[in-house]
Amino acid sequence: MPRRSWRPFGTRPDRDFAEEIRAHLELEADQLRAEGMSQAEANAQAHRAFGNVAHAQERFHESRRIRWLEELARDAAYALRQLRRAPALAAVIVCTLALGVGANSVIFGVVDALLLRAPSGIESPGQLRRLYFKGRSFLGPQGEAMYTTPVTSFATVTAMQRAPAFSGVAGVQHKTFAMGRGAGARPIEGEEVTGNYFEVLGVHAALGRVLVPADDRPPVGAPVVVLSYDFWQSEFGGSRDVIGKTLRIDDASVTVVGVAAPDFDGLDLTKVDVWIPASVMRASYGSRSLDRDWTSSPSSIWIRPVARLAPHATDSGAAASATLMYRRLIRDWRSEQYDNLPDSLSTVIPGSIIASRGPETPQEARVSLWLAGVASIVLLIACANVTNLLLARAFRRRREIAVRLALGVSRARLVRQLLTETFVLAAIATVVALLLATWGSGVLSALLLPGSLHHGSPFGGRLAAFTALAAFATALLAGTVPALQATRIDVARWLTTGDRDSGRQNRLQLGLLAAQVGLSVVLLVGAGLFVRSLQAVRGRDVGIDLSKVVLVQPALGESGLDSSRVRAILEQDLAIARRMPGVAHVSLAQHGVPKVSATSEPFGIAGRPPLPSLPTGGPYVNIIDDEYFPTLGTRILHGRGIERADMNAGSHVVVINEALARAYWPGESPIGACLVLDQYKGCTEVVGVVQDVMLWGLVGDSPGQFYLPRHSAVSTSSSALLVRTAGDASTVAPALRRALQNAAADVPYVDVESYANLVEPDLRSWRLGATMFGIFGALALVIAAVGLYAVLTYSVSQRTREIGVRLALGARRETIVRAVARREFACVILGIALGVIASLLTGNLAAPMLYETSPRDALVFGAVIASLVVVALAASVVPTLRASRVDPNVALRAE
Amino acid sequence: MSTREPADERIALLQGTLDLLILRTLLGGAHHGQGIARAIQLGSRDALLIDHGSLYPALQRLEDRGWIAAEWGTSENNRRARFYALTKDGRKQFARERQQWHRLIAIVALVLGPEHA
Repeated sequence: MPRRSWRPFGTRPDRDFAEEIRAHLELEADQLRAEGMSQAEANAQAHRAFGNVAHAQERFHESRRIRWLEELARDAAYALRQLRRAPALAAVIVCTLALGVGANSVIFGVVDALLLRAPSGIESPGQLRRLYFKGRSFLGPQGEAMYTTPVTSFATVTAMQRAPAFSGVAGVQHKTFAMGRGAGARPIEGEEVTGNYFEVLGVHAALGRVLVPADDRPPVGAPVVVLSYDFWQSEFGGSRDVIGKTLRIDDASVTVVGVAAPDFDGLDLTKVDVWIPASVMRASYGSRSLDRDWTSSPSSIWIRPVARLAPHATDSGAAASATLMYRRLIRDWRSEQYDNLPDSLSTVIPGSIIASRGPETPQEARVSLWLAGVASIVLLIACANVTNLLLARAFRRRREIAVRLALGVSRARLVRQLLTETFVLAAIATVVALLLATWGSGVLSALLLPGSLHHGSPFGGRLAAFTALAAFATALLAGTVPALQATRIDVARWLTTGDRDSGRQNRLQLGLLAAQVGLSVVLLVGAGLFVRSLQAVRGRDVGIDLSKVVLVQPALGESGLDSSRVRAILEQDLAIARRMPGVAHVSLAQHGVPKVSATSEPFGIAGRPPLPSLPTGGPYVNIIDDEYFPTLGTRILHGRGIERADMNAGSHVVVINEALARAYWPGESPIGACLVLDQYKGCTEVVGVVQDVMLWGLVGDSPGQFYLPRHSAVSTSSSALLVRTAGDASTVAPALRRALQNAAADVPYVDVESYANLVEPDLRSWRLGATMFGIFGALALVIAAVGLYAVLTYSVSQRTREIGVRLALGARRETIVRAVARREFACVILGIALGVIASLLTGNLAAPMLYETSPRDALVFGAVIASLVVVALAASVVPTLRASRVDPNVALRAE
Repeated sequence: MSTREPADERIALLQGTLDLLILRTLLGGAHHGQGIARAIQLGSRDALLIDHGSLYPALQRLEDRGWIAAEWGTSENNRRARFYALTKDGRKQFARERQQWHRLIAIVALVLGPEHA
């Protein structure tokens, strides 16, 4: 006996069916023969009784394969006709979907690049690991803290190569090199790598060869370089003659031996122009190298290891064996009396090759995940809105649907057809969303990951797939309920009485409207809070006129120049800058703040016990000239600044900052106090107090700082040239850079940057928050407004008859308008209230990302509520006008 | 169904009735396609006009709906053939369709009125 066999649609092959027919014909012929026919007669009769065999097979074939396709094509054509009939509604649905999905695609692009996609062009990236070193560091009085770092010594990389869990361990360090000398010199991005780097990653050459272990034999290595494919294209026009060319990179002369495969551009998101053997660069630093035995010294920490797991090796096994090896290494070093050794209980953690998935999530990745959450709220709003619009549309077509149901079309078939219409809309929306994403990704990566490559074009397969998936999933989510509701019709009742049954549907629409409004409030409040933070940071007086000051830093540190030549170049630059048009002040200081460098120098105060340390750090010293404060625009609060007369060896004066004055001279004047400094014998007199100048960044409390005049008796190691411009600094900077670059042929290149640019990264998180929340909030608001408009329009068209009756009975038009919009407005108010509550509840989540802004900022909440009310009023103008213009005669006759 | 020979006095099947007849035939046990065709012809005393070929789309339809199930087997005279049998759902469906059929007959008869009106 045959069992019931479950056959998914269309799995029975044609061949099987043909065999069944043959069997049938044979069985029939057998029987006919048994009834007395001849063989030939029986065969002919069996065929006659069967009818057309080819026709039967054809029908079978059609029933298997073509039917659903044909139906789909028919549905799609029907859908397009329907869309053409109501193009405005279709356009609104497409735009809503495209905006919601496009926002998510943009974020997906970033999340994908940061967290999901392995670097391109490398062999089985799943087997590659970055190694992290976790240990305890001793911070002196502050106690101890755990640290995790991807950087280690070259000696560790060499030792790890012996770990059986790894089939290879390479090392890499990213660096900005100077290419060329003099006027043509410019910075390029490169990586110092161990000789086995390309071998471990499994990267081949597009031209020539890649680096091999023989190129990197310490101490000197082979002076060769491999170019990235993009660099080869942009710099050498893709010419094959590039092989054998010699390039000047920092102090090394290296020969081009090859070009890496086109899809490989390093392991990080930052671009790479060249790869150079580590030993070549180390050797070129020569006598200036801080650490001459860089191959064996554990205290020279500069290289990041990348390991390939051996076949069958597990992460836990690799971690255990690498940790064991590392600890043994530290023990050996300890017996050799090295300083600054890592914690002897350090562990080695093999982490993903995707940098952001290492043991510590970097800021950009955290921000991008936050943004993903925000973007999904936008998608939710869009989804609610599309549902609303589809509901309105489906109910407008209830008569048509009722008629078709009455004609015997199955409900499943109708639901399928309505969903097909939604999918056609989703397909159009996908294309629009991809266009939006192309534009948006550029904007976002400029905001979130400046200076990094945006891997892959927005039209890349992954982004397109994500966009299509998001659009269709949203369409399915948004389209199902309307399709089911619209087809749930009691046909008989509907056809006879025309009963509209609108109450239930309207409740759903109103609920969705309230949800949209609420979510919009949350996003807009977020935008407002970030804008306020950005304002607060921008408005902070940091002691520097950011827009007017330029920092000049010649790349002198590794140029191989002696100190007298360095001094001469600086003096020369100072003179050139002073002569430049548009320059107001020029100053030469030991350190260019902010964030560049600082020297910590403790001091004593005459007649006092040793000073307690400052809670905000420091004190830090800077050695300056008489133009330093006027150049930066730092205000002098008490006494005087450094003057020309102070700049001789006999002068013993110091200017301190407010933080220092407050810490050590609370409530009294420090002017005239006597500081005891290591540098000078005797007393150094405090002659002035200046406002705090930011040191490490735009925010946070200023540490104690003091300033000494520059003169021949003071030795300075590093130097920065500060230029104050009369107008906007960014216009003067390029000309200044050219002039200085041309003046000194032996300086690799000169870095000229306006302070506004230097502090830009500090503003990034707030600017990003303000921009993204702002864009998403505005999107949400527009979508919610469209939703309100649609609901009101629908409700007015539903109630035309009722309005007509009321008008005919003598109701005033104002009363009608109020009655029409009352429920919808109540919903908007409810939505605002819910949104405000949600914002208040979730505000604390955002608090750590805000600056001097309360997550309950009244101004922000007030502005958001006001703007929503205004938008709601604006969205309701047209529908309510339409309601007030209903002509009772027309309305009553229409039924 | 077919309209082969105008002289033929056999009746063409009404739309949808073939399914009913197939279900009825299978009520007695599993059959292959040729057996079903023969059984229907025999049951109707040869009064129904059925293309054996038109049986198969119907069988396929019933199988898709889960009312019958099929399996390859061997016939009495040792030929390979696809055997069809009723499923549980098929049994229920048959009961439903038979009831509907009887109602339809009664209603149509009612409308047509007495034979000699």
